[in-house]
Amino acid sequence: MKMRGLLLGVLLWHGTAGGALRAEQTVATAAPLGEVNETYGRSDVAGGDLVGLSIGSAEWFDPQNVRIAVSPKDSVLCVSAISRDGLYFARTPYQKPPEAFGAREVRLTPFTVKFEDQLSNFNMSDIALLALQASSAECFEPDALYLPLLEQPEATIVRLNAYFNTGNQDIAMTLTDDGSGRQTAARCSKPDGARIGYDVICRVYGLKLGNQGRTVTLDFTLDDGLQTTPLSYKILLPSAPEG
Amino acid sequence: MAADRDIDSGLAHWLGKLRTHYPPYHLLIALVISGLIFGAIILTTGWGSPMIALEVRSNFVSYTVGRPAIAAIAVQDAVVSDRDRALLCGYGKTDEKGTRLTARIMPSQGDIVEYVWNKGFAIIRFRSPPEKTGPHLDMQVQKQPICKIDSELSLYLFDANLTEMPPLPLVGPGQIGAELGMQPVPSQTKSDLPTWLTQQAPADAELGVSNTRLLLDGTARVYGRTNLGSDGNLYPIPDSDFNLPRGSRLTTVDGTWLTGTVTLATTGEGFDVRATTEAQQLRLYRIGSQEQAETFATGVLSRAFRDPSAAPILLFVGIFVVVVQILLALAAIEKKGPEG
Repeated sequence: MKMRGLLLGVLLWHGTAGGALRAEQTVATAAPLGEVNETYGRSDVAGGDLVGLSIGSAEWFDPQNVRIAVSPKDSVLCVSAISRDGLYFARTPYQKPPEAFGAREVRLTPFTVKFEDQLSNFNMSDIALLALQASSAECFEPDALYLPLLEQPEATIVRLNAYFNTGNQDIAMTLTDDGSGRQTAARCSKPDGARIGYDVICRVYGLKLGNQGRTVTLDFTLDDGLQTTPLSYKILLPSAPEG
Repeated sequence: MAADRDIDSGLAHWLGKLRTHYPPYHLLIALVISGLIFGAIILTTGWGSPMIALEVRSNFVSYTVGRPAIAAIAVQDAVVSDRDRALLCGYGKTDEKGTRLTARIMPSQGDIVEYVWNKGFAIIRFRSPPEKTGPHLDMQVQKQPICKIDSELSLYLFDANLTEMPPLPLVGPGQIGAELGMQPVPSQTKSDLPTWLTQQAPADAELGVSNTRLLLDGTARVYGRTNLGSDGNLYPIPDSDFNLPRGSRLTTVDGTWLTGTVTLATTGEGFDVRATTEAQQLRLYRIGSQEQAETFATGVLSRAFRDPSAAPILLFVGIFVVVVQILLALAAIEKKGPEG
């Protein structure tokens, strides 16, 4: 019902503004809190295990249309990105706009200010983007809910991609549906080319988005041959697109 | 005859025109002729795909099994972890300290075999690719039936055992070392070695874990391949050594194999990897500001002049030039007459 209300509101607003109504215009935009913090070529790199999350299987990265899933909770969206070759790095908090209340997704505008040319040439698997829901722009969130990038916002059955930095250890990933408890094992493989920002992409195929958004848990097991290290992340899966 | 005269007069006419418009016309003609000869030499020589010989010290080697018969490893007194003990069909000697295994392990086509060096011991891991299900390893103990293993298996070999074994095989598409990428967050218990390993170690052994899987150092030497008359004989190209920087990764592309062996380095640090592969399908990933993948190549020209099969052609050109010079000089003297 909330979604309908929002749609109606946007429709009316567009009606008064005289703009033509298109489906994608219903996506609210989130603006950066402060400046877009990004570098290319001289990376301000910090360590991380999970460096990227996305759903969908688009071929190219579109810096003009970076959409991430959001939950109804009012929050700051902490977005970080790193390219596979380690050259591009970004870490910017965005403010979720009030008109996005109840929406399944927001568009990050602008995602990049200085490096649009470079980013437009990136394959989807060449860049990892990680967003999490935080209470403040400090982005210090011990039990964060992670928000995946929507590669194909119109898709209902999607592939989940997790970009991970293992230091060439073995990795296994399992996805557990928090509602049904169903578990799916992921397929992990090493991307081609230089592996600086991350060295493994784990994928779960055939995830169906429901009428309601839901959360899933990703369990990683890192194995260096001597011992295993478990890691766990909670991910938001958005509701299926309407229409 | 008439046609000949036409061509003659045509050429003479054209030369005359060239002379009036561009007085140093000899230069132009010489340029065209030498261009043709140079092109012919380049086109006919130096195209054999060069081979590369690697001599690398690394603490990490990984390859995909290309020929199962060669990939079999006979291990002597390998330590098996508590977790993997159940996979062994009851083979191996188990006591209160742990399990030791003396057997032949045979991975199947497409399996991934990894060698990881640590201080005092090495890990050999057999993994099956994600798309493969069911048993992938055969394990054979003397006078016993074959035990089939359907999951990942890790074997731990102390230096003393490893030096007694034949070299570890490396035959298939693979990688040596891993680029120094973003390091994972270290776990706090990393340096605590499991007791099933430390209890088995020789009394004087010092054990430690190498957290980074580095290529330590090495050289790559390129060999040319002949392509005239004989089919692809190798020949050395002098001064064609490449130094491999520490922290880079060597990877073959397009399914090209690395062919060689892996032993413990005599310095006691890392593996000593000796392998050959096709130079054009080997990539060196190193950390740079922009381009990270390097291909090994020596110029067509340097190969053209070193190619033994091209030597007769080059020799002929050389002799021809000298003889023509002498004949021209003689003709000039004859024309002038004895008085000069």
